[in-house]
Amino acid sequence: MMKKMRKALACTLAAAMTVSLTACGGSSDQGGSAQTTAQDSGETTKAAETEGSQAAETKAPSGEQVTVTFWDENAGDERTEYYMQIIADFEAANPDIHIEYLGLSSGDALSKYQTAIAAGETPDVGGLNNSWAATVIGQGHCVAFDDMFAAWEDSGNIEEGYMEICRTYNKDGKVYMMPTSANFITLWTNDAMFEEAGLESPKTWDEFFDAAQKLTDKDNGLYGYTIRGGSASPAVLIDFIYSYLGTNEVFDKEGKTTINCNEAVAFLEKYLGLYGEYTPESDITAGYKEISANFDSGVSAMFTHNLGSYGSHVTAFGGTEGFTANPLPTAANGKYVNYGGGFDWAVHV
Amino acid sequence: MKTKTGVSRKDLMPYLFLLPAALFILAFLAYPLMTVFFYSVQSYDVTKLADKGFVGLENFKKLFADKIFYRSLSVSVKWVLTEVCSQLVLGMVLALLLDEKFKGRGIYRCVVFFPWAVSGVLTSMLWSLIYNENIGLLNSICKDLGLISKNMAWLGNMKTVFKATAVAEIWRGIPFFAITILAALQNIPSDLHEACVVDGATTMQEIFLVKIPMLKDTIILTTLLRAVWEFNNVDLIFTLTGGGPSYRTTTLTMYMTNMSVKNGNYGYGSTLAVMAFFILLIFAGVYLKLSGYGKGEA
Amino acid sequence: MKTNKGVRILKKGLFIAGLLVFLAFILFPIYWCLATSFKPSAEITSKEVTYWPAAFTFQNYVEAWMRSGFKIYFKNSLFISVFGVVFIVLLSVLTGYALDRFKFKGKNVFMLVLLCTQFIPGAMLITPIFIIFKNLGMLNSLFALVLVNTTFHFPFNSILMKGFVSGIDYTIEEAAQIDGCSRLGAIWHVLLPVLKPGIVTIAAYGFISCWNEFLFSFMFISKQNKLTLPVGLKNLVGEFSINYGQLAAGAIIAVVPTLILFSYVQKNLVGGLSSGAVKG
Repeated sequence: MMKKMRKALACTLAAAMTVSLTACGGSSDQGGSAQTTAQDSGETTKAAETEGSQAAETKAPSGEQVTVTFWDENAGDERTEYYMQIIADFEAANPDIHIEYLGLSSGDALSKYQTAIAAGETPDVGGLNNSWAATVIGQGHCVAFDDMFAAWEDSGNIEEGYMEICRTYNKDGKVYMMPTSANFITLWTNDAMFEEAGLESPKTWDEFFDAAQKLTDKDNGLYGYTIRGGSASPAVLIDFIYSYLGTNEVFDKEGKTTINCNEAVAFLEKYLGLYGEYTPESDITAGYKEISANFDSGVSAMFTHNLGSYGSHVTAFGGTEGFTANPLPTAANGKYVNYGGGFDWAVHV
Repeated sequence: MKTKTGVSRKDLMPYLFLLPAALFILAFLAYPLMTVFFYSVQSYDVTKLADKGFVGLENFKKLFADKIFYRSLSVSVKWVLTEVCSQLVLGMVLALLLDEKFKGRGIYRCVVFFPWAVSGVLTSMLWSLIYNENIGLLNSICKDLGLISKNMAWLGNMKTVFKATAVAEIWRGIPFFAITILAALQNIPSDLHEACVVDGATTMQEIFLVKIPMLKDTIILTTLLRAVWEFNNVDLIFTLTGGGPSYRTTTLTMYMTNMSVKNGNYGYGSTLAVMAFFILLIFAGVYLKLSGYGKGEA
Repeated sequence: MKTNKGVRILKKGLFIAGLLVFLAFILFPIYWCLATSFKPSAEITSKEVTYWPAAFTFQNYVEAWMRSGFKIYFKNSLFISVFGVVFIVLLSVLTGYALDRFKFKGKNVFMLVLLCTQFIPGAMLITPIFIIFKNLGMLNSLFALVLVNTTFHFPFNSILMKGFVSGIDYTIEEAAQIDGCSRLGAIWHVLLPVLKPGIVTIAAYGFISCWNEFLFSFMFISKQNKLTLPVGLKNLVGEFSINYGQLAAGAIIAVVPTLILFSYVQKNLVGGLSSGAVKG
């Protein structure tokens, strides 16, 4: 019973937290909680349906303290502190809800989730990385909350485009998660290195490839670019392919995917051809921290990530000077596409 | 001596002493292990829960056709051999050095034995700071010595990753051998050494003809234990390389851990575990038999 | 005579060289971690690697301890290690004593079981043990970690303890019993005091094993304020902010207690082991 109540509640929590994160409005005061439904919860999937339909507009029995567990799948010292602040604000506004935060390092988060799922002990709300969110949701451990979302007064404050994407994560088209953040893919450049080579920040993909080559000075351990390797590398490639193609249509008119069209393949070959030639050799296993360190230490002149790494560059460059954030290069058709990059989702597991 | 009542109480005594141990083993080892055996013949994949259920020997069939299984097994063999041999040799040399008296031996011993107390996670943290391509010590030393001209990614390079990981584990493993062998060396009666001096034996002769034969049982037991521990070692590899790149450091245990913990395929992971368990059991039996453990002891 | 002297000097030189090589290899990573922990982060990531901090700072330690929660992790690790030691020592004394002093049916089987426990890959038992603790309502309980650590570390220590016990003459217990002590009384008053070096050795082994345990702590604990040091350390490797300085400082914080304990007992370790334990 208790368990189910918490589950239902978690939805509203996710919503409320999202709102605070995106700074669209105050925290939701209807975040109270749900009346428990008569059916036995047992399986989470079943619970999902019953709650989805009934839980939306109910109030918690007053005075009862409810604990909601929340896992952050990509903890780091600054981010954790930020979450703690949001949680403190939320708890102050909702005294009968206690939030139990757990920070996981991004490399271990999936292991922790899979073990928790196998043992049937998942958190009430959890962040999922978009590269494996579909896997976890597809396993049927998440609860759809379309009705609750519709009934939530601040739902209009969430960008509809993001909600559209949220609905694509499971075949049934229901909402299992709330967007928390959108990444804006950024091409970071090292000003001093560009100046020395007499180059400007690349505006087109051709300029980008050209710059990568010209900025490389292998004998001195300097590279034009640093390429993301390791297990997270494919996700980034998709973003770049669509940016290069200058389209966000992933299917053509016949319903075939555009991802392996000739142009995309040619681009991919060219892009991956940078590896080893104009990037450090270690990039094959490099995650964010390695490529970011390559850029921060002046080994690589260019590096693609999102705006989230700004703080680390400020620390490394000793201020806000010396590096520039550029949008991704423009496609040959003149269009600028930022395929969206990674979203982090608060999902209700 | 034995009264009627005393007999039964005395007979029960050993079992009472062992009762707590037995309870712990039953609850947290035997029972979970049975579950692993049970799941090894089940389909239990958290990404395909609809298929959950008994599948007979399907998982084992899959295992014998699984290329990565063979590959990880060969990495395991290579890993165990590298680790145990280098740790044994280096540990023995260290123990022989420490068996001599010299000034500051106490503090020296304390320092060189220290890695024994360091965890796998910590070892991997310490060494990743050394191997790091950009801020690592190894690169700057090698560059200053003129060995390399540009920074190497020791853990990212297919050619160096295994060696780099192995060195970190050797660092942690030397003290175990040094401690146990030193302990055994100090058990060798000192008149044997005097006899060697009288007979005019060289130091090398004394080590190889007198000391090492006396260490035989210690060496057999410690190498066996270490081999099993190294085979099962996940902490260090899990945190240092995660098994990569491209399965270069995926030992069988690492493969199994990734299979169940990361991929959520608990059924097949269990099958791999059962296999690993039997491989170890057979290895231990054969090893003890061939090495003639315990023989030659009066 | 002259050649003899030459050989002696050569030998001495080799001996000292050997000692120095080992020392350098062992100290190598520790020195670098220490150096890194005292550097400000700009110096750590700068392209010019400095062998010793140019700008010395304690900031990393302060931040790791206060902000990153190492104070709490330290306390938790201490808790599980202290209780783990109590359990491990208790179990291995009982088991080791029984295996050495008694003759009974099933003794060899039990020995074999203890040895076989060493073959079990702990990583594989994560999920089954997770479910056990879930059913016992003991998830997120540090005590659950105590139980698991005890289970995994007492068998080897029992075998060691058997060796320690066998190194002590049974006649002293017998004498006490003749003087009117019960068997347990004899163990308590006579055997245990003599067994002290062995107990200290095993306590040290046990403490260090518990202190270092990572996988179970990572999987079973889902509360921020119940995490242990190794897990907290691993969590510093965040995707968006890896703070090498704090990582190094955290590693040093984690290592200090084992260092103190170790330097205190290491003499015992060799002494204890040579008193017959490794003979098996």
